[in-house]
Amino acid sequence: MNIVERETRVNVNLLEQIEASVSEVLLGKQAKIKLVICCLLARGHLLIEDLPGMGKTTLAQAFAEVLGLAYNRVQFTSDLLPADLLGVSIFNRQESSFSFQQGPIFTQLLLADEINRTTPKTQSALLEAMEEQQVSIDGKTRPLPEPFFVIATQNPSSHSGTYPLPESQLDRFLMRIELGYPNAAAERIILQRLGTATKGHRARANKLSAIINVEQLETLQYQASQVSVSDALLDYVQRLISYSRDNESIGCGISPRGSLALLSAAKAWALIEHRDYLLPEDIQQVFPAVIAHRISATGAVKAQEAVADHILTQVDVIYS
Amino acid sequence: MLIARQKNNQWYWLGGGLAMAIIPLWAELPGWLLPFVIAIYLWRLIYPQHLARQGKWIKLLVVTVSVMLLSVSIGSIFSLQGFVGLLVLASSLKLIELETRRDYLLMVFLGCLISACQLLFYNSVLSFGYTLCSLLILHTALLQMFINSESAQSVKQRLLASILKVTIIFLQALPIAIILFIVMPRIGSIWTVPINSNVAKTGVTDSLTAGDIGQLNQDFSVAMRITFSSSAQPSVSQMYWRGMSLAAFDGKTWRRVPEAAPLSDKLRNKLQKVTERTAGPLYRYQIMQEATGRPWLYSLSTPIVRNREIVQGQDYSLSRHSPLQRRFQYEVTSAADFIDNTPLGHEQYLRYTQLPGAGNPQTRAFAQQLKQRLGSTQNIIDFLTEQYQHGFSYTLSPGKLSTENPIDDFLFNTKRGYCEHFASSSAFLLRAAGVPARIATGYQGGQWSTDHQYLLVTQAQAHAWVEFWDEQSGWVRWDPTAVVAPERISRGTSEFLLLDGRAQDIAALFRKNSWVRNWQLQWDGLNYQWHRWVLGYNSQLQFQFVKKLLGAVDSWRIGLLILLVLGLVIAPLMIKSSRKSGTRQTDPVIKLCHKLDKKMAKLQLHREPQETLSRFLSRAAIEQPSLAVALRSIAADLEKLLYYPTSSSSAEIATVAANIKKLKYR
Amino acid sequence: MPIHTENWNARFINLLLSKRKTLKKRHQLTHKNLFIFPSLLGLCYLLFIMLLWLLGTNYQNNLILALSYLLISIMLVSIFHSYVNLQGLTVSVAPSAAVFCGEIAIIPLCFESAQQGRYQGIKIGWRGAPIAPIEWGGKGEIAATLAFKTTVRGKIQVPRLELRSYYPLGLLRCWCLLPLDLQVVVYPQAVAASPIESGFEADAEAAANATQYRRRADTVEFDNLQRYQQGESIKNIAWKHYARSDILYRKNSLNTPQANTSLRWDQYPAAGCEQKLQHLCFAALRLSEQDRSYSLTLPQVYIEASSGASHLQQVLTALALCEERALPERLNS
Repeated sequence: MNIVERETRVNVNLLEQIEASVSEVLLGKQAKIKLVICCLLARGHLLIEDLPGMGKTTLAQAFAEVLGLAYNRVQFTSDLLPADLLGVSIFNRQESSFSFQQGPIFTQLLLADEINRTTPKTQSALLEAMEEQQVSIDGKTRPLPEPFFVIATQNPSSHSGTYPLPESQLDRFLMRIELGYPNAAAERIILQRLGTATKGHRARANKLSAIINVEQLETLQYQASQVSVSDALLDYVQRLISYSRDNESIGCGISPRGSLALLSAAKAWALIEHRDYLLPEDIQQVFPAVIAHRISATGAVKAQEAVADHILTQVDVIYS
Repeated sequence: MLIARQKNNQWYWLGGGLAMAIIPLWAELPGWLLPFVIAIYLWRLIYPQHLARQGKWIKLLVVTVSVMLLSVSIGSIFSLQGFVGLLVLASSLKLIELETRRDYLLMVFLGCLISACQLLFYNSVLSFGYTLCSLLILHTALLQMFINSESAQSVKQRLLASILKVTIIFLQALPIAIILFIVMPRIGSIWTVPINSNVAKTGVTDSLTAGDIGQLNQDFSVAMRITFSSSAQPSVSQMYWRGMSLAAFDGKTWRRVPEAAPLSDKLRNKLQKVTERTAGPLYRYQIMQEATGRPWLYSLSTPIVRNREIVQGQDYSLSRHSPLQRRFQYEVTSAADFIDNTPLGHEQYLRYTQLPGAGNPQTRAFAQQLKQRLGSTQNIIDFLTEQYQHGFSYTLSPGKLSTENPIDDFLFNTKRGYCEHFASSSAFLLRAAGVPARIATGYQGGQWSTDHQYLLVTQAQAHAWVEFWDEQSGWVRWDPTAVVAPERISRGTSEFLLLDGRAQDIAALFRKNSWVRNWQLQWDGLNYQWHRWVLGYNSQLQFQFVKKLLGAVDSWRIGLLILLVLGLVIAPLMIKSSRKSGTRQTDPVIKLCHKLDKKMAKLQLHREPQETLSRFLSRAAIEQPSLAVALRSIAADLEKLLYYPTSSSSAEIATVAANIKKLKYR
Repeated sequence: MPIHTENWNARFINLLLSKRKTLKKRHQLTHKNLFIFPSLLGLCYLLFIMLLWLLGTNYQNNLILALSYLLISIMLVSIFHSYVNLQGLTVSVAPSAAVFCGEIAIIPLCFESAQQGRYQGIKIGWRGAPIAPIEWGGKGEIAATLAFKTTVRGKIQVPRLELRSYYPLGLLRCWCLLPLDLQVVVYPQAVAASPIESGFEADAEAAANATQYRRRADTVEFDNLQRYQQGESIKNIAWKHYARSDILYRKNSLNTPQANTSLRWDQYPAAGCEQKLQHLCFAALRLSEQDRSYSLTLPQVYIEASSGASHLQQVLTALALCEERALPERLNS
């Protein structure tokens, strides 16, 4: 127990380093970066929904760097086929056999850019891989590398030429966040950097050095799962969920998968906060990010998050 | 189909309850009514729907005819019997057109009322129990109307469940009813009502004829019950419950002479003084006399009573102004050694030596002989005692005596008889010898209840004895029967009967069996307590009892008592139900949070639902800086209890609870 | 919601209820929302007890007095029994499907008991008229429905739900009035517009469409004519046939894709506000039946042209919720 605790302390400091170095690249977004770290620790996939040019790709890239993970980026376009993502079997004339050519999905961190621009067919291929942690091609099942994260970005659904993800698939993402505009101070620094940096700040991300390795990440994930949860908090989670299910104004209630996601994300948040037990604040912090995209399929992110916040204000933390 | 069956079920309950209510009344009602009611029941049972469809005129005819019949056979419709008869008739006739729900409910009420009316005629424990049973059935009929009529339960199950439910309600209501009965003030009759006036006249009569009855009937019904409140008690053989004296004799029958004057005040005061002193044999006792339909009462010798309803005659006998139509209870004090030797006046002397002009010449001659030979009264008595001891025997079936000279026949011929024979002949003999004498009637002896609480006197213990005048000692009791058959006195009549060997009475035979006898005594004990505490519970007894129970008779004490009993009855019900609903917070920590929220609300600080404890309390700490330290520590402790992985100990909870309590608001 | 203020009793209850207004989807019956009062039978019972008491007092009969005390105790005890009977029962309501005005909305209710078959003789209904008994059938949870007659369109709050029980002996009425958090969406009644109300004088857009049609009329083949139905676009009306026969025919064109129809607020200039909504409702239903695409324009709402069940629902809901205040005053032309 003691050993684990000591390890935790060391590792948790690492998490702060990660946060610090990513926020060097993505300015003024500490809160969002923390959520992303939380998502990674909870072994979940992340969906970033925002307008183009808000730094979605930069964020993903920076994370791949600092975590020391193999990284691939796929730009989802309307003509992207599942095979382009997963890989194909090609006939090798010399060996007279089919050999499998791995697609870009065989990586540790996949940045799926503009996921809602591609056809539902390709979307579901990705989402299936996300859920199963494996790819089935030509009747053969191929496992994906460990760990496997997907950071998907999408444009607001109102934009033309989009195939909005159905609810069932949105559910696969542990969190959905919105980066939003940087504040004035951050914007100023970005503008100033334009003068000093030659290749813009996307180039800067490449310079980030890995802070933790895969083993350390897995330890952290394990520790996050070991955060203890009291009955009082399980009651709280259940109250939140049943409120979302009972309330008519909420499109669809939170599924059991959603409640599991909420709890594991909250546990990861507790770990980030250097605790080995959960507090209601942890749940409240991650709640909008984890829940907003699960409670109604349509509508703007802001509106959905408002609904999530509404749930929080309606459900008592301590008793029913 | 199902509905029809259910309706039928309800009907069975109602019919059963009504029948139960009516049956005990049959003896009080005209003979034709019972067959009439049975006929209607049967008709209804066989053709459930047929009766209702009869024409209006037929119904009206039946009603008119039966009511007229009733009034003719009872005499007056405005008597108690008439009232009850009408109720029974109405309930039975209503059965004809029992259709709607309202009819059904009305019938239940009618049944309850009839059931209650039974108590106007009978008031034993059994009758009351019976009435409760029929009320239970009628209430079950009521319940049938208001429960689920679903088919999941079988009919039998449902019946059992409803009986159980009503029984539970009755059992819960009983303690409350008992308390109400004990404490609710009694007020007298609000208006006069026709009273049930046909109480059979039983017990000792005011005349005595020796020898006209061949065989004495043994009646073991209760005459009275006596409780002694003084420690001094006479032995059973010395208990002569004197009713009245019979002074007038016409040759065959002794009769009571109506007393012209009551006991003189002078003597009364003298007696009063005697009863006030502490020394000497002084008996205080309470007599509960069964209804006799006659006015006179019984007591030991020289009694004194403080009851204004009771008058005392010159011969010290007690009587009431009105006949006893119901059980009557009275307190008596007797001074056994009181001597009233006020010389007899001339008139009195004549009265007590009066004899008819002729008849029984042999006895008269014998008496003259005795007077001349023996002289003093005491010698005559001693001689007679000796005579009785030899040659005379006691029997309950002596056979008839000659109608001409019955006393001659008895004294010189048959020499067999019971108390009346001995008393009558002795008194005649004494009078013939010039000694003033009279016959006293009443009861002799009694039987102690098993717990020695009270003495039971039955009609079989009716007795007659002689009183003669002595110049020194006044009136002296002399019981010739005791001389002839001392067992009769020491053991009681019933045992004597067995000794007599002529017992034909099966009931008497049963008395040989000790457990039957025991059981009977126990049963009588119960009846006695019932009469004493329930039927005889009047406002005087109530005052005493409530005072003993509560210390004083205040309305607040009484109210408190009622509330207490109500609470005791209701508490189990409420606890059971609150457990069932299961909404109560059972976690002590959650309860603490509730408490804290309430406390903070008094400080005008309300926690938002989404606000966690630490955030809320730090906000509170800012608004109430004086409490900041306490609030922070409470927040830390509570969060620890709520969310830390270690299990919370009761000590910690107690600490936090104490801290919350300590929060003072200004 | 009809509020009965005929008698003091109802007024008193209203006063009590006014404090407990929170609409909830789920109610648990507790001492806070249960009322107990002697029923008519109970009042008769009290009278009967008085009669017995008088009888007992007048005849100085302790047993009859005791009986009257027993009966009053039974009444006292049954207060608690009747409370326990309803206490703890949970009532929840599920959303009801939208209905057209004048139709009957079916409100699904769910009753959960803490213990099987513990609740006896409960009847449910809207306030003042509880008639439907709940049949538990030995289950711990049962569903029941209540019919709710709709009389006006809009989002209608259902009246208070009344649960009533006379259990155990019928002497007491134990009841509660639950404010359910349930609003039924009531669509306007579908009423066909008379031709006068339809007002054929076309506005600018319709005129433009008509010109377009006139230009293409010669090249378009019509294989048959159908009777014109209310709500259909007026641009397909065969005016020539109308001129000849005085009957409105619709031209069924085969080779032109069916153009978007628009349902507009000002389509029926001659009708009142409610009537307009009724006609629009009728038109929407008709179009939906023909599986055609249509849009809706109300003073404050615009719904894009589309088809299908969900679109119809959207349109009908918009019509149902169209606020009276927001509507422009009817033109007195």
